Amino acid sequence: MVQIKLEGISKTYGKNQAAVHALKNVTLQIEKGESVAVMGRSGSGKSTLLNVLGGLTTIDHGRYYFDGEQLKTTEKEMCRFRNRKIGFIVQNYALLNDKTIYENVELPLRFTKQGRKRRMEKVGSILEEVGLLDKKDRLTSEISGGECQRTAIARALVNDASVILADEPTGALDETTEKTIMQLFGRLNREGKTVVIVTHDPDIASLQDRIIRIRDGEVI
Amino acid sequence: MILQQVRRSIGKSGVFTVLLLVQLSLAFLVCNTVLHTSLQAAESRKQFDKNYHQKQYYRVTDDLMDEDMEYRFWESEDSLLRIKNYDKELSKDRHYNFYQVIFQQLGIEDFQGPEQFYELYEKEPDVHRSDFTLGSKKYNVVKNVMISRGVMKEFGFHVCQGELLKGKDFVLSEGQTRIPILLGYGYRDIYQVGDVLQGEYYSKPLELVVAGILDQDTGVIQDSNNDSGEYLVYLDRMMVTPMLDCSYEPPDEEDRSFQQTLYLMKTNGTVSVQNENSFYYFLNKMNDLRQKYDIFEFNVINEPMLSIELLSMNLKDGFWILLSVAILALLFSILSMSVVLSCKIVENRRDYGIVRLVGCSKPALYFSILLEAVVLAVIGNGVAFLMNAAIFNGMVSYRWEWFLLSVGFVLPGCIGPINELSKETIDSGIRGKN
Ligand SMILES: Nc1ncnc2c1ncn2[C@@H]1O[C@H](COP(=O)(O)OP(=O)(O)OP(=O)(O)O)[C@@H](O)[C@H]1O
Ligand SMILES: [Mg+2]
Repeated sequence: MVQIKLEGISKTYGKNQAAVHALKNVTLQIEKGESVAVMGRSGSGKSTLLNVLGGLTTIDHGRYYFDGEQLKTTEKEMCRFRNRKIGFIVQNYALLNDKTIYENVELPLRFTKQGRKRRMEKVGSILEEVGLLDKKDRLTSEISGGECQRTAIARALVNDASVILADEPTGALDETTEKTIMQLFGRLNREGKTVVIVTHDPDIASLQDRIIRIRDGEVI
Repeated sequence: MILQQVRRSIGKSGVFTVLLLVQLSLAFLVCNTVLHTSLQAAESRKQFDKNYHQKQYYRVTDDLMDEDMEYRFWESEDSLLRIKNYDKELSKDRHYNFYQVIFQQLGIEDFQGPEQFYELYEKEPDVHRSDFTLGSKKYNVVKNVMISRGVMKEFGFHVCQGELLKGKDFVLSEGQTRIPILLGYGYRDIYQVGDVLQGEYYSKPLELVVAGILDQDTGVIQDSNNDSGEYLVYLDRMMVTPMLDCSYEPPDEEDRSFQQTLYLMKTNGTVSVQNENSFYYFLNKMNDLRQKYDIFEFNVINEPMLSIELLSMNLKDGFWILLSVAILALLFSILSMSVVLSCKIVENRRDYGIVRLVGCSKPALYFSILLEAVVLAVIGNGVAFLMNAAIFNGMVSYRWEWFLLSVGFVLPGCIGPINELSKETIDSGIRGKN
């Protein structure tokens, strides 16, 4: 079943001479439960593509279908979309540094109407899954990169997102940690999550079901 | 969540927040004072219109402009007795209220009150040049108003402590050295009912016993020297002494001259009447009495109460300066707030990116900025309230009207920060370094 469908998507940054066409007429499909690697040179538009997929940014042209429905571009709908459907992971983890692991993971749930008790249950079980339950009260400024990334993954999963988007999730990690993180992604994929990983690493890319290559904003 | 965001944001960059709060609360303090002054004046004005608009006021002045005339008048042996009788008969009548309000400084020995209570404080806060010594005693010259009995009724005096002056309190008998006085509200923590002050009343040393403390904002109307109408003068920082009647023959020259001064002052009064008829009644009576007691000419000046100045005399001169300072201070603090909040947005762009990434909407963040401004305004008001209490000691009340206004005023300070935030993208936030 097709989960994500892009049709003729274009995205331009800036205006006139300074305009950068980061994505040009991109059309692609991603199946539910598929794992996809996005590869391409620096500046080719990988992150922009991921931003579009994650609803982080608006698009200039084209259509975005998610689970068969076209994505509405109102602020409210986009927020809902980011909160419920997508788990977004970036290289620098994007965690609130003055908060604990627990609080960071709980964050998406605070924008839902779920009660405190239910939030505690959910965060607890997800932390268990990524192996951070015993460290849940540590500040994220005081933990290792691998733990940060696992926190970020837990946050991405806590609201039952069906799609995980990861932009160079292991770029800042050493090899062993990278391996455990990639195993985690593999497990999530086997559990049915759709996974899209932007990477420069051919080894990581080769682990995925499919590789999407981008050059100068175009899918090739 | 939003509240948490606000708390985080206020907590961050603490030094700037503290500075901003200091600035805000100072501005609020001044603004509240201005608003209080205006509102109080407007309220008193309304009260006055209610109480006095139906009435007509006329001023009676003596015509003893040149000293020769005055000298000739006092030359005659029985002139003092004549003027006393004239005053007695003129003052006692139900058809009108003839009263005196005379702003006359008073010498007080070893005065305990603060500077603001000194005469001339408004014009020359640093110098009390009119302080003087009489014999071996040193007197401080303080603000004082002399009133006749009718004034208390005319302007609705009430006391918050002690009691008002009674009829006998306005009479000085031979050898009497003590008279009761009233004190303005500002004196309530300085002197107490029953305290005895050593004073000087038209060069006569007298003991002044505090009989009562007037309510806050007790006021009387005073005509201005120039033609700009009448002022409502608050008595909060004044002593209020009775305009005395002397029930005895002066035993010596010194006392005679004291009584002469006193009774000459008493011929200058105000008459308030309900209608024209009462006024003509008064006029006829005064003319009759003038003939009866062979008294010199008087002038009666029509004094319609139409142009009571909005501001009390004490604050009038400084008001426009105060208002400008208040507006400037307010503008600057709103500007500071705008700058500080904008800086915080740039500083916290990563945090904003992160919360938006996981589902917080932009409007919610805008709201958090507005809320932060409101919280700052509320804290600023709290600090200003405390400062107000410490500085003015109850003379200026902190107005809830200002509280609401201030919250409204800080909101425009959010336009800049909100605009700043609207330009932020999630992408630049989460990928940027912190
Ligand atoms: N916010 C922005 N404003 C202007 N130009 C941008 C912005 N973000 C990206 N670009 C430009 O768009 C193009 C694509 O950028 P993008 O970040 O998608 O590349 P990338 O493939 O992720 O590169 P990298 O591998 O270095 O992360 C680049 O030329 C970049 O300079
Ligand atoms: Mg990139």
